[in-house]
Amino acid sequence: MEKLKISNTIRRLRFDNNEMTQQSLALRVGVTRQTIAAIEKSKYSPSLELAVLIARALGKPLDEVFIVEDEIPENK
Amino acid sequence: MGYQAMCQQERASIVAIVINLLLNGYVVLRLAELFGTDALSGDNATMVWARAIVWVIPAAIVLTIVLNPLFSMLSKDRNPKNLVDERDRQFQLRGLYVTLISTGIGYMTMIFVLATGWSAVAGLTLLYGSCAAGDLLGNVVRLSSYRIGA
Repeated sequence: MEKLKISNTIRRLRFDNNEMTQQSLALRVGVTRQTIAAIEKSKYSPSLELAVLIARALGKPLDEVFIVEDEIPENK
Repeated sequence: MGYQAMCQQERASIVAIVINLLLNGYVVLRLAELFGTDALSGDNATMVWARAIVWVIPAAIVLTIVLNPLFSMLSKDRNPKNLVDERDRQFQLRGLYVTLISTGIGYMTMIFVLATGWSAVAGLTLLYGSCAAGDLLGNVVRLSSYRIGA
């Protein structure tokens, strides 16, 4: 299976949401602050469930929070 | 990155490594001492061997209960959260695989060496060693997963 490189905009979206802290986001989605920090740095890929919870907590659709970096163009 | 930045489960893996090294370091010395004498060659050799290590499990439990909150206090985490999330579970499972593989290899090797005429005490020591090494390696893998990322 090809491994996709996925980045995220969590850090920026947290600040757009009244400067929400990592701890506050972690409490909302039920994980530790360190897990949110690891996801922000792309050191950990969350499960689909957790990704959806994070997107919901930030009030954005999933594909605005998690972005596939090296998407292959459709016409290629 | 300080200890305060670690989650409770990451600190727990460090505590487990320290406890493993302390207890099993002592066990190695104790067994080496016993193997140096005739204590492990008589009829009651397995009983002597078992008595030399029977305290390890309760000691590990007590040390875990004492050292985990102590480490939290030292890392200035006044409110350690015992929350275990999906990342913790994934890293625990990864460590467990390594522990199981090491223990499995030790078990198979023990059967093989017993079949080739080694003493029961030597076989048991081999099995104990593989369990201890597996626990240590499992926790090292768990800790490095937190450090390096997944």
